[in-house]
Amino acid sequence: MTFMDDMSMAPEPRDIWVVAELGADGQASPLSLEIVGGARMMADGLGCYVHAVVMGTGLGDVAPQLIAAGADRVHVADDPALEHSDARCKVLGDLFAAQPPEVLLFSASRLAEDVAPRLAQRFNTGLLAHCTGLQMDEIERMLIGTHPVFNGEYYELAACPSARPAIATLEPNTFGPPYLDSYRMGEIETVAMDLSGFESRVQVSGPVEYMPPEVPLRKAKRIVSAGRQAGDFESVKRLAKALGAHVAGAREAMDEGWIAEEQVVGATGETVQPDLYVAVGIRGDTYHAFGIRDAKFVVAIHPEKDAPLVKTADAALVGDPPKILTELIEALK
Amino acid sequence: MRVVVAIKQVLDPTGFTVNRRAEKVFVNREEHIINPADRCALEAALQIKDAVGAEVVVLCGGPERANDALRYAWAMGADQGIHLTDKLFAGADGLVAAKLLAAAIRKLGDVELALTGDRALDTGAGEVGPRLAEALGWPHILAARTVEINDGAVRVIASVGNQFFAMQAQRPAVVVVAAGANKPRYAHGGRIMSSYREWKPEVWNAADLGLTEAELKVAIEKRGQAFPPERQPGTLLSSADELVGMLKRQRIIS
Repeated sequence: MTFMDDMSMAPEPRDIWVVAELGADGQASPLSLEIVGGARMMADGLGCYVHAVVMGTGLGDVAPQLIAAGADRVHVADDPALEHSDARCKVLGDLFAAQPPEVLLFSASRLAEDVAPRLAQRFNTGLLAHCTGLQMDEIERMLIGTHPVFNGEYYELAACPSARPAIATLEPNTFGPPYLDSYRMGEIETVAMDLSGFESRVQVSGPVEYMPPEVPLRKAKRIVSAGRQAGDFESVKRLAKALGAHVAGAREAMDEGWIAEEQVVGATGETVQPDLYVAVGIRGDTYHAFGIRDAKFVVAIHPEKDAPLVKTADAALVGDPPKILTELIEALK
Repeated sequence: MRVVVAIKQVLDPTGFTVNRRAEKVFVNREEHIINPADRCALEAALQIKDAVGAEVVVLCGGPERANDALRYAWAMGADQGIHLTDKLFAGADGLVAAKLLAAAIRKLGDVELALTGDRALDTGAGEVGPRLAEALGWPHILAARTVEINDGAVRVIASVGNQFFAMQAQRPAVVVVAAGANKPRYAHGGRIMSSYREWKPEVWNAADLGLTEAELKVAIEKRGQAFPPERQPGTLLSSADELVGMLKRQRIIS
């Protein structure tokens, strides 16, 4: 049976469907609630319904949360086999073949990375991935997503004019916090599925120990860099750990004995191009400025508000660096 | 054993600058490079070749310039290169790219493993690997750091969040290699020169792949650009919380 046969037997694509996920606490994840809320707004504009699908085990409390966020009907698929992405693809694929969505939304998560592209290929349709913005053109009834390109250098808008379902994966803060109304009414349906003979084609075991190859400083995406006024180098290292960043410094940090020659950033050291460069206690001279001129976002933390780097950084915090670092590490938790 | 690597070219990001105020991208030097994650996929394939003696075939879709990417791949050590090109492939999105690659792999035959990079530097969608697996009806594994051949299976160490897991699938399978998973070997300059003298990739078009215009219709169309807010140098913040909020809003951290 060809794909075209499937389409002629299936009903018209309709409604906005959201594949909801669970947070670490077993409740609906904040991003899933946000997406259901956004779907609610879009559905109200289009005059259609919002469906949520949730998969896994122990899903008791989750459906009412999704209804409170705006779902009209929640489809619950409860089975331990659903920890395998193969099973998720099968269950979702069968569900959407029987009830084709007009729009299908995922969180931009690992689950979505495994499942959304496969579903998009199966249904011969488009995928708008990692959207930071999403709109429905109500006149042409077309989904338009905004997504970052070249690691966020700029953004592109892409549309899915005719293929259905139009599928998108969404980053946090695309819609803003949802309005949760515990008095909303909605239906809860159990997804009919037969996973009795199911065997996943991929076997997973672990976690395992693995040391990835070292990333050199000039390729590091995040750097926390120390200067003479950093005060306490240990807190610099702790901040780097909290951010998953490389530790580096201006030349004076090497003079202080905190870092090695390879970690020096500046015209006579390494030139770096991270997404985030946090300069702790670095006053900022032309040599150092040369080394960081390609950094995407520079944060200066320094006691003097007239320090050159404080004036040219994208964001600055003026005060006692060790104290600020302690607060920052706390705020990042 | 035949291993296919799907690579693509992307615009070299060091060749353009973004002016946020003017909301324009200025291309100072238009050059293309092999997508970094795809070079890691190619390196993983060559390491399998070194270990078990596999045949490595590289596929690259695109205009004339894709030829250079294939020659570099050959100079790195690939055995064969196939240039997929046709007017009908222009503007291909993930859906069409996966169809092309699947058709090429079926035409090649006897392919046991297909590798590709996890994300393209430009679009960053990360969709082609799993799409290709679905088009072929094969399983896929994402975010691979190491790839090994073992009996009839492929064994991978893959990252999930901040941890690593051991994953295994029966062949044939698609393995998507994480950018930075390995340090790709350099192609020797002399060998790159030789590639222009003594070798050339095969060229396949839509007809060779048995694909019709209807099948090559794209689902996604570009509709414009948007730009991040202008840099505000010297923005003095008053608290660590304010800084963290700003970093999250600008999507520098999550």
